[in-house]
Amino acid sequence: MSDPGAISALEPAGTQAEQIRRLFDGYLGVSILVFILVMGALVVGLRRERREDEPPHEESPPDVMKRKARVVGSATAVTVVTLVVLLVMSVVTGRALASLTPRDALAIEITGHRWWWDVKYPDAISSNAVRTAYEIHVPLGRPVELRLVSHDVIHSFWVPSLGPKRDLIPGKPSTLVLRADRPGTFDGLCAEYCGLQHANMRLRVVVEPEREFQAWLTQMRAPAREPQTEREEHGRSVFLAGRCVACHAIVGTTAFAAVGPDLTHVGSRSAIAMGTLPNDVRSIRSWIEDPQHAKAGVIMPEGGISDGDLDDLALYLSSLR
Amino acid sequence: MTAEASPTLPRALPTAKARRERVIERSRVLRFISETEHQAIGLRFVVTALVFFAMAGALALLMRLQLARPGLHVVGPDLYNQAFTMHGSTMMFLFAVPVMQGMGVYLVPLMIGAKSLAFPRLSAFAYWTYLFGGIFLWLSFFMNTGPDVGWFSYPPLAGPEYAAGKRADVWAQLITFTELSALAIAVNLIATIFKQRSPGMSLDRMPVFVWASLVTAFMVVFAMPAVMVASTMLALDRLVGTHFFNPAEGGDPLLWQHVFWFFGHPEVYIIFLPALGFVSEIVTTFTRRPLFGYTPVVLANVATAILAFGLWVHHMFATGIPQLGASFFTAASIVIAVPTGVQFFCWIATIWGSGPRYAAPFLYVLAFLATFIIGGLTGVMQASVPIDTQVHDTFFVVAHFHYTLIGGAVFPLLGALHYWFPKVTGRLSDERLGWISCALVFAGFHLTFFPQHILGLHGMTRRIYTYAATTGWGTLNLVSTIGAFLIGAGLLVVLINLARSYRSGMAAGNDPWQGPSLEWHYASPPPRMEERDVAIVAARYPLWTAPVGKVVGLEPREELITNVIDAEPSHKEKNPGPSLSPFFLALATSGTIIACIFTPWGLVWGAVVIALVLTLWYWPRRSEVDEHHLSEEQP
Repeated sequence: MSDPGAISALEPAGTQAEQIRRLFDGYLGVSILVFILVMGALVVGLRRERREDEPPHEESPPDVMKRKARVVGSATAVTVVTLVVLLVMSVVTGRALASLTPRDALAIEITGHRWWWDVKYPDAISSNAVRTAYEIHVPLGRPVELRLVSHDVIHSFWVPSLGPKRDLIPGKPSTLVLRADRPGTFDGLCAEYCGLQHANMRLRVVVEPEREFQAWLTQMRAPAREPQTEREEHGRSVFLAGRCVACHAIVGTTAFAAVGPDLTHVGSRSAIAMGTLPNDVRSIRSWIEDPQHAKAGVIMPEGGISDGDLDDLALYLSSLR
Repeated sequence: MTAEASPTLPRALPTAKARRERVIERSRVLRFISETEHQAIGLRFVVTALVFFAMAGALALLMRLQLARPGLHVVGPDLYNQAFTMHGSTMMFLFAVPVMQGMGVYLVPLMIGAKSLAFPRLSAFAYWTYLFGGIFLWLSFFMNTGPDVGWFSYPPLAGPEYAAGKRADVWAQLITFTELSALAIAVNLIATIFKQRSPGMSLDRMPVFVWASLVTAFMVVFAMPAVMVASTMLALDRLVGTHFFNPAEGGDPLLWQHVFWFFGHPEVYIIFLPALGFVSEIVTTFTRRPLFGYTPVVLANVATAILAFGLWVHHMFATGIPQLGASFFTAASIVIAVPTGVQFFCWIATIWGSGPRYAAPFLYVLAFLATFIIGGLTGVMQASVPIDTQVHDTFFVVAHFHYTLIGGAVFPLLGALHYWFPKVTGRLSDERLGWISCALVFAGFHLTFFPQHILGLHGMTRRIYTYAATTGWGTLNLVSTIGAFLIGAGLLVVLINLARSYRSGMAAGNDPWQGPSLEWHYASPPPRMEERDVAIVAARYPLWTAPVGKVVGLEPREELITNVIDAEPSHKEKNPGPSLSPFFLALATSGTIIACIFTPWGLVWGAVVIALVLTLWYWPRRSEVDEHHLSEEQP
């Protein structure tokens, strides 16, 4: 894989993650205080010697009992007040998170599949729509409205550095608005157990300034790069003649199936197989040769392609930048 | 107990029954499977549950090995997914609930001075059903048909389309087995506690553990039907193509989550309220003081039980529940910290300046206090919707619930095992080994699970069989794995200690700890019902204050029934004694449940067999009818 992206709820790169981090810090502070107070009381209570006027198996003297009752009562009252404060903090943050309006937001359609992420940038002009996988580019500082859909099992979209996760439930499309405020590469993964390769259903968000983002989008809108060499040419014909086209699309060729990830610009992504393998000719080759090796249970069938054909196919796919 | 003892039985005892019992008495196997005595059943529950605990623990170690370093190949994804499903399902359904119920079955009659449970044969049926269910699950696992859809089996993943084969069915039917067993024990405990307390043991004199068992039993009665309905709907979806959870046919995957968690959250408290009961008992004995705030502690139990049913949605915050509705469940989830807090304060007030005795049970209670509080605090964090949307389904949650379930239930249970060990075996366990085991388990636990909080915050989701080296999760995972083996070592010391002491420990006497409650009044091990007296009590801590009286005029197998509030004697009732019927009914039920995995006809033919066995069980026998009349006549 290329350089690892940041992946941590504690290092926020977006406004929601930031606010949740602050709320978490508040809860953590209160928790540490409560822990110290309660454990402190326990330790002091353990070390304190038994009063001589207190025989075993009898209540403590009335004055002690009265004092204890007062302390326990106040501790309970303080607990209630603290919890109410925490509740209010939580609700306030919740409202703030929900207030991120999707005005001038960039819409991205994300479909969870076993075990890969299908990413679409819709456009009023349908030929301008872009389809990719694994790697999601978003503009810096502009809200993105993620439209989350699943057609098989429940998945959950989560990029810890950007903020809340949201389940993708079959039959219940939902939206999640996020805003990234720091450029960089941020990794995420499917958070709801979704079967055999749940562990390798990763994704990556690349946050870049608006201009770079638009440049990327333009590049993605272009049809696939034409083969430049004879071997690439041969690789393409292997692709189009074989069963690859049953599932994959390469815009600009006759391959248009949408069952598996779109490969139009597969060479430009930072990894293949949802972050399981680095994106280079060798990995592409070994992936096609035996997908089960890297991702046992993956739905992609083995190629049944001869060695020479495989070399060229990998070369061709790698050239699709 | 031998045949020679029978002359003490009244001569009126009819011969048919006597003959039957003599046949049973002569064969070891028959005696074993016809056993209905509460101590035996309770012990079997506890021992069986501990065996399952060990097996599920072994799977945990296997998973920890696989996660010790990034990209390992100790196990593949298929086995790993089965392993965590088996681990969770076994721990929840075959260990935690049964072990707590088993402790109740063993202890409650002793603590309230009853001779037996209200429905001894039903308790035997519950045990066999539980045992067969557990064996069925683990045999399936060994035959590579272990469930692999997680212990909460979300459809559509667990539905017919995405979980081919029988693995998810095995899970659904395991639920049927264990819930049946849990319900049978729950009604048993309720009836026993309400109607068979020693004269004088009014409700406000019941030991706190008995209160906890009572409250828990009511929770079982309300929670378990929800999951039985859910698992039956899932089984129907899979077997006959109903579409309860299939969105393509108007079903709803979220429905499952609502119904499952309506059970699933109370389940946690079903496991941990009895454990809090252990804590109250141990604190009382080892501080040599009445529990501070008996009434608030009991009320806290009741409040927890009620609130527990109002916060299931906090398992579903990531599904996109509307803000206002979610806030309600946040509030409920936060409020439940109050009753638990009250119990904490009362324990500390009891311990305060008491100069406690630091024996193993008390050490485990201290380990519990220091650990569970962290689980409670992270629980409050997750009650907050915004925080939960970050940490949900990550190792933070894994850490949290192990803090509550191991810290909150297993530590008190280990304390309880050391505490009542002398009562059950008549021998003292080794103090030094007790210390060592507690230290090992405690250190191992925190080493294992504390780092998991951090891993979760750094993005490590749960239920992943591997992770990339670039995530940087390797070091903390290694620490966690080392800790897990330390826990294993600690538990091994517990086992060695108890096994050694069982063989060669010092004689304990009736009351080695100077305990306050009635179980310490009996010999160790306590006599079976035929030789046990029914006590008369006059105080909350009968062994500490007033001398314990004794009810006279009860026949060996006669039970004194008292009223609910004040435990005033109302009448006597005959205990039915050993019987083979529960075993055979459990066999027939198990056969039916398993057959239903393969064909809907299993239910039809199974029902016929069950009806036959039930008919035999309930066939009125002249002898019993006569006995019944006899006992009714007595005042």
